[in-house]
Amino acid sequence: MAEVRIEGLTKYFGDTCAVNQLNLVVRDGDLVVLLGPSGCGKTTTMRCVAGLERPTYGDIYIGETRVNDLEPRERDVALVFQSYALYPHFTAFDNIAYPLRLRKTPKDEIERRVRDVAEMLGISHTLERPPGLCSGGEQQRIALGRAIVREPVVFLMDEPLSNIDALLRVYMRAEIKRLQHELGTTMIYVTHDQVEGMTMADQIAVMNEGTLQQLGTPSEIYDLPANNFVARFVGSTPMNFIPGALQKENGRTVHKSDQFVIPVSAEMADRAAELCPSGQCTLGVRPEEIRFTTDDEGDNQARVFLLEPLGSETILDIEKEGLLLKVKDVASTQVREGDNLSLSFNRFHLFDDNTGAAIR
Amino acid sequence: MTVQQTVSPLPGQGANSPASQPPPPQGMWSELFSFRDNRLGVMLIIPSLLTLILVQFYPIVYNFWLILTSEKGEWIGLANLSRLTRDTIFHGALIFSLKMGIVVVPMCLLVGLGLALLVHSDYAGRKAIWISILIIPLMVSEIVAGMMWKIMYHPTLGLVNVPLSALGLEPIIWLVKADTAFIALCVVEIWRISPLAFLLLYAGLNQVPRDIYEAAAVDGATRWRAFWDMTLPYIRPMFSIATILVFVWSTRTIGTIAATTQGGPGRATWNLSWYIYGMSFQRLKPHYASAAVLVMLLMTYIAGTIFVRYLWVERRSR
Repeated sequence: MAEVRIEGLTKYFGDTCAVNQLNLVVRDGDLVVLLGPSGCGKTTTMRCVAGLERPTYGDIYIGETRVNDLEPRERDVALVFQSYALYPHFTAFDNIAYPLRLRKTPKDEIERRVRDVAEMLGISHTLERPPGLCSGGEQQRIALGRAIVREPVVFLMDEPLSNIDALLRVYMRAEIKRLQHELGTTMIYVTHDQVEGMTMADQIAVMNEGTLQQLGTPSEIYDLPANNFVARFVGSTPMNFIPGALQKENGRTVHKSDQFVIPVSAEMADRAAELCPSGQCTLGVRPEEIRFTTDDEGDNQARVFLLEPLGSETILDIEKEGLLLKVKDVASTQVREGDNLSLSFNRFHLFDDNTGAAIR
Repeated sequence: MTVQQTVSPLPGQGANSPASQPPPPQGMWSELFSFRDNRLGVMLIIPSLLTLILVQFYPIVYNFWLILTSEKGEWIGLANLSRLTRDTIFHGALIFSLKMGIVVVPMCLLVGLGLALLVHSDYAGRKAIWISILIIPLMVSEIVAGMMWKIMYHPTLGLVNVPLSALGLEPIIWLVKADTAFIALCVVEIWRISPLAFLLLYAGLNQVPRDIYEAAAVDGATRWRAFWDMTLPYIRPMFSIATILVFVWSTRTIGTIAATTQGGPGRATWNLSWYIYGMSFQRLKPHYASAAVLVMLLMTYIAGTIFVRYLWVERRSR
């Protein structure tokens, strides 16, 4: 068990900068999710920690040891690959036992530990089979077993759930989190699925184009996104963005766009005046933070053009002069397509158009 | 009047019960011809099947007829075979073939594997160029290769003796003594055949997924260990194919001998092929030679079976 410290990690592939001066501390026993779109450098970061890639610049520490110059096998980390990378010519048992065999563990202990892990993961019945004859979910758990069995100091998971079906994914998500809690082992978990990140992580590190965008707990990431990228990326129904500018109107500050005029609190207006003198900023509001009434009067009128019933809730697609908004409502919504709604914006964020940073 | 009521099963209910399953297909042939696609497939196979019968099965059957009859066409039973057991020249040729196989097969596989690993490694830049250079020996005919090497082995002109003379040693007259002639022939064969092993093993190496090496590295395997645990088992099927082909190539060789030693000195470098050739076309005893052909056939068959049995472990794909 150990803390993982990444200091100024930079990785070039030829002229392409995959990771740019990344600083990240994963506390001992934490589950940190590296979250970001494809090509954001999250997998490269993890491979650097595993020792499969050499950092171009920067240092990686596991515990107190600088591991830059250590071979993967000397780092005592376990990695679950997206492809599982199971040994196809071994049985499931041998796959799980392999790391123990390499450490010259006594035979009876290998037998015991492999059976224990298989029991824990519910794959005891597959042990004598080669991975090729196991289902996707079983293969995934064999790969997990191979990582767990040797009790490493750090778990690294590279999108381990992306190749299994949706139902199993939801189940395994909780399973991995439970395992990590039980074992208390530090884990770095790479995914592009923000739901996975939100549900599993103690801390989420959102990455884009090789740089760290924000590090925080899931609720921090969701409620206080540091910039418009994080705001856009996190949230299963994405945040609504309304481009516009801050203006004074009748002595108070409003965010004025082609479609809406939204009052801004005095406190936020002060911060905006300081951080974004041009006033050009985009307003971001989550679908559940838009309130509405069905009367035809009021400031911000818009028309519902589509209902998306999801069973547990309904998404209202609202359109005004070329701007689309998504608003969450209860499943038994009274709103019908074509209705006019009067909108009010409960909690929202302002993002500087020049830098993309949140004004806060 | 009783009304027999048939209850049609609910969708998804009765349809899956064993009673209503359609009967299993009747035998291979009916299934083979039951689809238009299969019929086309069978028709496409027929020409090669006929060719196979013509050039493989017919000669083998004809060979048996030759064995069982004398040169005059009389039925002599197993006399040709029993004569073979007393024929010391044949024994010598058989032993020479096996000896050569024992030396050449492992050497070819080792050289081939070494080259394959080198070309497959990250250090080899333009792999296509390396491959084209390395398989040149495959494209040279046996006779030409033999003649070329005969010049190389020449006591005064040959390249092989140049380093010896440079060291002030007596040049070795390679093809004149039995021991050195054997070594010389083995070298030619290794040069000629190891590209085949290289090509097959290189193809095998390319099939090993890269991620299992990474998994092994993280799991704690050294490179050497990963080679034993991942690479070798993975290329085992290719390895057994290479072993069989190299064995067959090295035991059946005749052009190399014809171009270099002509079986000499004395009968020191007679192998089975050379013996069969000599018996049938020089001593004109094709019926007797056919018995030797049968032995060669059996030898290849037994060796092939052993290689497949002990080397080929079926790799189940993921």
